[in-house]
Amino acid sequence: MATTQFDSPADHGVSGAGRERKFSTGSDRPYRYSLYAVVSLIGAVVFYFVYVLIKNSIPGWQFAGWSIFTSTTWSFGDSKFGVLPLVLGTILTTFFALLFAVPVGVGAALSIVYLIPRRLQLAVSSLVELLAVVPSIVYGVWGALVMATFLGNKGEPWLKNLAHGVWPFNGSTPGYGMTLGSVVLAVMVMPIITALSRDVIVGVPKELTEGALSLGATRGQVIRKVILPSCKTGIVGAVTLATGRALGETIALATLLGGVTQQSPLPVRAFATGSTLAAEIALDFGAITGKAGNVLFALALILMVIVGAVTYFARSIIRRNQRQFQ
Amino acid sequence: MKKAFRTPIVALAASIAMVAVGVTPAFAASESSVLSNALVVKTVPSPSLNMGGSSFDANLVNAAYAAWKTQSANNGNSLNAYQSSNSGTGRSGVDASTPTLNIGFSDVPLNYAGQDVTDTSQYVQVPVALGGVAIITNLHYATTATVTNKFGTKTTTSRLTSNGTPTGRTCAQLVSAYPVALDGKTLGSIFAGSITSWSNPAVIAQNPRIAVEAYVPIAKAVKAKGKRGHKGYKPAVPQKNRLELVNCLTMTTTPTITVYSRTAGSGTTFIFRDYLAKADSAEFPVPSSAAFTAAAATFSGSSTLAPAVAGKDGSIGYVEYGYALQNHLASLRMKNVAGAYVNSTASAVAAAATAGLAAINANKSNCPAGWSAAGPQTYNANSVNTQCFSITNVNAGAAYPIAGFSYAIVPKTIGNANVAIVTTKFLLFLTQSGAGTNSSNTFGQNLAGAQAYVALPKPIENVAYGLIGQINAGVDLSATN
Repeated sequence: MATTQFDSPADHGVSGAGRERKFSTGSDRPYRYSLYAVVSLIGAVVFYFVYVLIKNSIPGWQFAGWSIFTSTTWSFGDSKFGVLPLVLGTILTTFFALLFAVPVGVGAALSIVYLIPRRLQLAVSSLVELLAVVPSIVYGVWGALVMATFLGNKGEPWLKNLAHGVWPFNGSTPGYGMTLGSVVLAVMVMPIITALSRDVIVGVPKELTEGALSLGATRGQVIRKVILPSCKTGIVGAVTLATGRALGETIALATLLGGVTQQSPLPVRAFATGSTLAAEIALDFGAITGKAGNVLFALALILMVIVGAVTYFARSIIRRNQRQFQ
Repeated sequence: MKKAFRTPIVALAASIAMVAVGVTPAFAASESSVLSNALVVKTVPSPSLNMGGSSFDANLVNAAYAAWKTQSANNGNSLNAYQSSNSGTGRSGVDASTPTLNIGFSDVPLNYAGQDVTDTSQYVQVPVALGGVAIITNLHYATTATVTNKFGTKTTTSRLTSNGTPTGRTCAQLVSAYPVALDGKTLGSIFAGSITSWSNPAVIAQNPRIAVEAYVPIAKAVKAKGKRGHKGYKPAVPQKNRLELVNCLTMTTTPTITVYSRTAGSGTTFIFRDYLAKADSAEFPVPSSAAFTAAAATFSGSSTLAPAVAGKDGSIGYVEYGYALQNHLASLRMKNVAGAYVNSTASAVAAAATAGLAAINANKSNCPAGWSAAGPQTYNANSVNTQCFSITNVNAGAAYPIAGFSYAIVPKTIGNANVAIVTTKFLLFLTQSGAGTNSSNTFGQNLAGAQAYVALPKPIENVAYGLIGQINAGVDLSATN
């Protein structure tokens, strides 16, 4: 079966489409065995990693009890372990970051390919890729010193005034909190989406776009009806990668989110402070060998389950789209 | 600037001469030879030692560690840099079944109020630092104010200076001359969330001198009634404004108070709450390390709380005084028991230590047997109350009311001889001022003033010396390692 040009690179070889030729015996045997060894090593590392994580988290579940899932109070220093604020914080910061980053990122990719003059294309895409490799701690420092001051003194009070203090724009405006975290996270993941989407958009065959144009479609219609649908799988792949990075972002959010407080026990306001699973593990890492330290392993396990679920869900979307085109 | 921190503490020696040590120094050699041997590590242990915990001590320990490393390359290789987090982590790092820290630093004694559930007789707690908790704020003031006359377009602008002219002092200048002052009850109300605005009357009442002239409407404008020339016509009455003295705290750019707190487990919080339990016991009955419920955001260390206050207009927080200086933040003057408004300077903290230690001594009978005035060692945790180690809210004219000691916690028996030697040497370096040795200026306590702490008073240095001598019953530092 011929592979279509709408494949996601991640799916090559899954159904055995490229495996017809077997390795011949004899001179290729060492090569085959070393490949087996590498695969086994990777598999062993992954299994051992998951095993250690589960094993160390069990005392944590016992220490915190089932209330870890039902309690809505998280205060590590006071031995109050309720993960709901953290799970909500993780999901909400990622969701709002993507809400901003995906349209802007895909739009930026489209403009790089179709709007910006050819001689500037290389410069602009290099700039975007540079943003993608900036270390998280740099974003954390920038967020704490620049964005937190701006949001706390100007941005959030202005927004609160505009909404007349109605939920979700109510409560105090400390600057640090979910809004700051989402904004910085959006800036962090947008270059990833732009860079990967740009590669996928460039790969759309010219025949399709020229065919649509020759039938009288406008530029906008070509983008909406031809380019974006054909890039859907690739863009979903890019968004999945961005989601993975956002869900696991640790050090930047540890400095920016302001912690779970009595004023915002759950991050359900725009200006609420909170924490995420990864950031909380980093902040409380000093107690990792204590009794409460195993609870941090439990948090890590919950985070892995969330990331795994999101990735699986994204892959199933990709697979469904592939079947549609086939 | 540094001269201001050189405080003569000779007077301390006389007043606290009755501080009973309760432990006999276990070092066999003379003190001067012990201290001379403490400067250089001869055998580097493997793995190297870890220390960390309270952010209250961080500035002093970092400075002492930098000086320690210059003594010899072995010193830096034996001990890793200070990991600043909070007092709770300092204690849990040392008393865990697999400890991550060789030396833990905490402002709260081990197992106070049963919080750590550990056998305290297995540990030595050495006083290492004496500092003040500064209440930091970020306040900016308007330089002009406008009053609009109703039913007209005329506006009256006040130039907010002390005499209404450009030669008068603005609010910013007035506040730097007379820093904002509060008493414990008002401060407690702010941190409890019952006072939410800088223009609250209780706050203003304690700051009468920071006032500027401004136009204040005293009579409302009245619209004209009826038509001119007709019967019953009443002409419009213009608004009357009068120049009055207005407190600067009603002219802040952000009147809402944003409270910032530390996360639970902080020893700085404990010292602050210990003070509030004495000054505002209605709202804060029991000292603890819990975060403040009125806080808009919490931070894991003083090093992140201070910049947060620096970045948010109208915010208030609390950090060890050195962080206030580092971030160029104004700190409040606090009213002490004697009625004076005092800022968190070295001399004020030293005065608090003097009076506080005298008070602790007077209360010794209420403390468990084996108690030492400046650092608990072996005791039944359930019978300790803060009177046995707290120096907050002391009754002395020049004393700053929010001051406290901080302690280094180490196991009494250390299996690895090299680790015990490095621990002993570094703790001696940190807690002593080295008088009587050839290198008297290099020891850690000489750096206290420059880092905005107060050097430990000599009797407390002696107590620390004796406590360090309990590690492995007095390590022999004259050996080849």
